[in-house]
Amino acid sequence: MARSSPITNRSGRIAAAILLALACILFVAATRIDYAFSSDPLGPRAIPLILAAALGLFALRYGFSPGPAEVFPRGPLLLRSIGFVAVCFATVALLDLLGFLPAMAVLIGVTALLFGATPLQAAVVGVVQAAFWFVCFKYALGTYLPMGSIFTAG
Amino acid sequence: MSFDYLWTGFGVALQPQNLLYGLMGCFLGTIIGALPAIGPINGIALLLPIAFAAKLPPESTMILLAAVYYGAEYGGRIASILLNVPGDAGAVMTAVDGYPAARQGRAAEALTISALSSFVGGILAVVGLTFFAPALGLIAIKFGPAEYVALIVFAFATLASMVGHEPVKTLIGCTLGLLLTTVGLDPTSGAYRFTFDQPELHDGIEFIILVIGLFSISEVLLMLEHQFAGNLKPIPVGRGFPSWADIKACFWPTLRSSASGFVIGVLPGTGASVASAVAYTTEKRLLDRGTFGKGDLRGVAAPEAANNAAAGGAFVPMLTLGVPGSGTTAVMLGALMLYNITPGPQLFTERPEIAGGLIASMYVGNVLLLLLNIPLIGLFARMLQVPNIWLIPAIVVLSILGVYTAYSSVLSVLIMLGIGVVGWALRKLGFDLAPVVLGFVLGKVLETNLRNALAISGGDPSILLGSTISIVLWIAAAMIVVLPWWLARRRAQQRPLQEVQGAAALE
Repeated sequence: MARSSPITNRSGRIAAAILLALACILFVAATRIDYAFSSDPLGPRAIPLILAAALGLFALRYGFSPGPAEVFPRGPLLLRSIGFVAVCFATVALLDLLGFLPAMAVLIGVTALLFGATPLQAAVVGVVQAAFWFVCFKYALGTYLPMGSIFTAG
Repeated sequence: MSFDYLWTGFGVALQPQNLLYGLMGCFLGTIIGALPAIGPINGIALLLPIAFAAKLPPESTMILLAAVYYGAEYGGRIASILLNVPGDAGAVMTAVDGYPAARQGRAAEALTISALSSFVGGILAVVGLTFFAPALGLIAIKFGPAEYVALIVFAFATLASMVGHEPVKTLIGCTLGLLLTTVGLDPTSGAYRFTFDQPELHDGIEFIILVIGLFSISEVLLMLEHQFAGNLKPIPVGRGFPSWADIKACFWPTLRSSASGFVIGVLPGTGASVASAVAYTTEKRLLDRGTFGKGDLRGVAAPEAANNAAAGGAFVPMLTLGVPGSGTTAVMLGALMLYNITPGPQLFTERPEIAGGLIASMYVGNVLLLLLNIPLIGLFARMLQVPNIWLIPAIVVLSILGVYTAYSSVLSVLIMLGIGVVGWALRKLGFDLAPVVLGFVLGKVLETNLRNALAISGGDPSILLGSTISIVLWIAAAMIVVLPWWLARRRAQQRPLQEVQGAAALE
């Protein structure tokens, strides 16, 4: 019974509303696809228009009976999830600036911390794994990894 | 029917480097399957960019990824039997009898029986694939654009009716996947679609970015919420070996389940989880004398044979028609497309080293897996104790590295992370992500063929029903959608009638 609680139905309805809004935006965007010539009678607009309309219809149907969904996290759990995503985005955004080793050591350390490591364990996991993956990818696979523009500039 | 492709394939699969990739894939796959944190799709999604970065030829990449796939089907049973925590959806039924057997001190017997039945299921599926795929390929040669459109619609219809209990969620997933393929430059007209003036979107959404984001990052976010106990304590494996009577008792259940598993695997949209559930319930109905669910080894053999047979069966539509039979084969199909190889009937004649190499490697791989899984079971069981604080950060970094090494772009990684958050939200809402990937993989093929068909007919849509194959496929698709709805309605109408009759009889 808990699975069909008002909370879960509400999250389904919110998702249906978001999907419907997305479908509307895509439908309008599809009507504005510019092209001078197409070698087939259907052209580049038809499929996106049909798909956007279909998404809208399915979203409406979904909104009327959203079915079971898991309860979304709240409180400290939500903060942990947001924190993890924020650290992921921040370290990746700073990847070119800081370089692979420091950026990934931070990300790995924070992830380990969120999964129950002590600060010391998190530091060890961060440094060891960052170094391990760096050696594997840079030297064993020969791929390019950023060294950090703040360290290499000038 | 010519089997030249298979001999070419054995020549490829038995090359030392490909044997090594096969062995590596089997080993990694077993670990990936055993770890509750990563399933076969995640494993393949993470390994694909690494194979790309290592510049492996396409046949070697496919051998490696296929070995990971069926290795994971073998490995999934280890956590099911020793921990009661299935490594992936296909291994859920194995836990029903496997875990009680392990608690009775028969863990080694259950693991050996499951390895043997996995082997039989796997090998029989490859034999089926060897005969069935070229035969289906002969029919597929007659496919033109209109037939492909009907086939893909049929695949989506099967998906909608078979994946999950909520077809509307499957349809939304498929539509989202299809919409994602329309992003970027349309090669036929030169028009930019859904790029919103962002040059980064001109090339569209890359497959690796989508798959890693959807599966790996969303999985980590889910695990963050459902953090299972850091120190899981598996039941010790012990040193037993099943008796001859046990092996004999499992013989027919294994054969029956292999056959049903293979057929279910061939159907687009169904996979190992459906196959193992069908096999288990069938054997329970046929054989149960109150022992199923209490550690009956036949209840371990049946789902294991079925899920391995289904994994092999899923390759039939993927290799012959370019329509994947499961989420994991959809990812492998995407991998082939990254090499600019389009699967289909021509694959067996034009690229026998890939079709044949893959099939031959599955014979070799199943033998390797049996050899690995019986003596090394203690080692694989120990992998269950790898702490999350080491495992999860590794998944996160591999996800980031996978995208970064493939596209050398920070923006691509950020898009992947964004897709991961969306994937997490969809999973929380009860959506299955496989239809999104299937929609994405089939979207371009569907649009190209639809537009080609209409170009051929000068815009006349009747071309879509212009051949017997197309008509049969459209009718089959319609029946798949309508039949369950009609049956449910009939049942609902009959119920009140029966209740009235029952009440009248009581009076």
